[in-house]
Amino acid sequence: MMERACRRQECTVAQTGICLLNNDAATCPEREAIVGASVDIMASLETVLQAPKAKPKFPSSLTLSPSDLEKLTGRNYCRIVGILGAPDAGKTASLVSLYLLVSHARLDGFEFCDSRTLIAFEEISRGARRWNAGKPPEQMTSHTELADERTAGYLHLRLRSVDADEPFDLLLPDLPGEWTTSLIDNNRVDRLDFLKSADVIWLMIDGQNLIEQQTRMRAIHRVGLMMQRISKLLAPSVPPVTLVITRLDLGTPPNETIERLHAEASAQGIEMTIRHVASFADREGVAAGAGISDLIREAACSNGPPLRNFWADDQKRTGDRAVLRLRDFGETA
Amino acid sequence: MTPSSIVLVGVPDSGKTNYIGRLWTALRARKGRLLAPDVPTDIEYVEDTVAHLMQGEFAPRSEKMIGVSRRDFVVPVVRSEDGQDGTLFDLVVPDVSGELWKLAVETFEIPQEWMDQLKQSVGALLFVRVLSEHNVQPLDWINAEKLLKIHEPGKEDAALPTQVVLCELLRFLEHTLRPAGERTRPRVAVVVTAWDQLDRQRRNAGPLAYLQREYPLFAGRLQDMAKLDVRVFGVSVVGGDFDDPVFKDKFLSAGDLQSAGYCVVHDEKKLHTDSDLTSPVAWLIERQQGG
Repeated sequence: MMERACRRQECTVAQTGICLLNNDAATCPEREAIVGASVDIMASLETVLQAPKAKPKFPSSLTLSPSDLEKLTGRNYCRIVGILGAPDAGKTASLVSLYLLVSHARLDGFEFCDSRTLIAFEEISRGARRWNAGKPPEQMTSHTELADERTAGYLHLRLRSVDADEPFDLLLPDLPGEWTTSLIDNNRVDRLDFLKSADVIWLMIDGQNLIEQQTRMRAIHRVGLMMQRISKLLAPSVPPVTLVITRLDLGTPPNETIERLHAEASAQGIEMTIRHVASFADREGVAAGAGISDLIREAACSNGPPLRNFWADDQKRTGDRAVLRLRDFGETA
Repeated sequence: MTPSSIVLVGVPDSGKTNYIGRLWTALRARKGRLLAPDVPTDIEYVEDTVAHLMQGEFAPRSEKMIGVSRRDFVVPVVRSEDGQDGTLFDLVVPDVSGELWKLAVETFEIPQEWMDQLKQSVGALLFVRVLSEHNVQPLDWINAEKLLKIHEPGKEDAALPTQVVLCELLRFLEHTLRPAGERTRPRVAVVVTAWDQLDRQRRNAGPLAYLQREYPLFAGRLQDMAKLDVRVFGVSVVGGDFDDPVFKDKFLSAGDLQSAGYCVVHDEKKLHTDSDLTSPVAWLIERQQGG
């Protein structure tokens, strides 16, 4: 289709529909200048640059988004560990230490079988992916391509218990501490829905804050609030909770503090165990990674089907897990 | 009918080149489980390696750059038991250095032609070299703590540990290789090269025990394979180190590459030594039930 335009600059037909020369717009002799048909403009232009051809990709081994989990949970029962803790509680350090224990075959009682997020573990360990300071991720979403951005998602580990000689899968959410802060301060629970599927919950707290008098009272107070929030969120069936006190290398809190923490849990009707871990060892006497294998042992024996029980009795489970699917639809290229 | 392919995979300096040179002479000798019925058209690449070996030297690392036009070494092989007219399998030796695989692990990307090559392969040889100076140890607690506390730009780009790279390569193979038959799994032969470099105690423990000690993540992964059938071989292409003048003298005076070198593999719980250097490839394409 071709278009014609008037060669007179003062032509008003386009604006008013009236020709100042009183000509019929359809037959006006001034309307000679031919402009290329608008519909053909793009086709007539030569392509300057070709779109780059994307190389085929293997599935990534960065953190998994909730939608990525389907394939994994369809194949095996995956125990989900709900990890909460304020910024600087030692969550990242514990995950890194767990990975290093596995990497060096030093996770007492367990052997590595697989991880679908191996590169994520590696990058978090070497500080290559960090939470965006001041603006941590808002939701668990699909992984972005940004080189140094750390996204909220799950880390996967498949381990074999040496005693039971049986593998099991763990999913460990890697979340910014701000999500816990906003749970406590604003009861923001929308992005913590995954806790309803958790087999066990680890509440992480910096042990130094419980040791030093100046910070102890507030630390106990905040732990109490955290337990109150999760108790309300997960009622009526709160999975077993482990209070993970980090920085064991600096010492352990006084007994009265431990008693007060137990009292806070009891007040919320929470079944709580306390574990001490040293992700790193800044002082002599405690080995780096101390206490982490106990955490894994408890997680392996948590809510899900017990190891070495072929006919798992799902009636025994206290939670209402709905993650296990029975069919694996296979991978797509 | 297009022959089935077997592909070679390994990081830089993993011993691929020297193994292929030695394998080529074994295929020509026709004394092992596999033989090459014909001489392929282009054998320049492999003959260069053979020249080094026959002079008592290991071939240097291949420095082929990615993106330069590709000239693979493709050698059709048959099972000796089938004779010259048996089913042909193409052994495809990529004309790229291990950089291709290293980059694939770092970016999860691979050129289309290599993705296609993997997808039409029924098995793979995955190489790792004993005591390579390019082996990267896993991060330790002291360095990890430093890296977490102090953000040092550039440090995070440090090379991935070898065991992580091997796990990732295995994952890529798991994702792409196709089974040779309906009830079979694609096979991967893990070839631990420079096996003679280990002390007697470690050699006696076998190649899987070596991997368990050096690369616990990779060894754990090998023992939890649902989609691949994996076997670990220890390989010494000439049976010793050419840097040792006594060995080199002995090798050159014997003047017989065919009698040099061996493979070790756990066979029904017993460590088995085999002078047939075609063994890892022969296992990849042996007849399987249902295959």
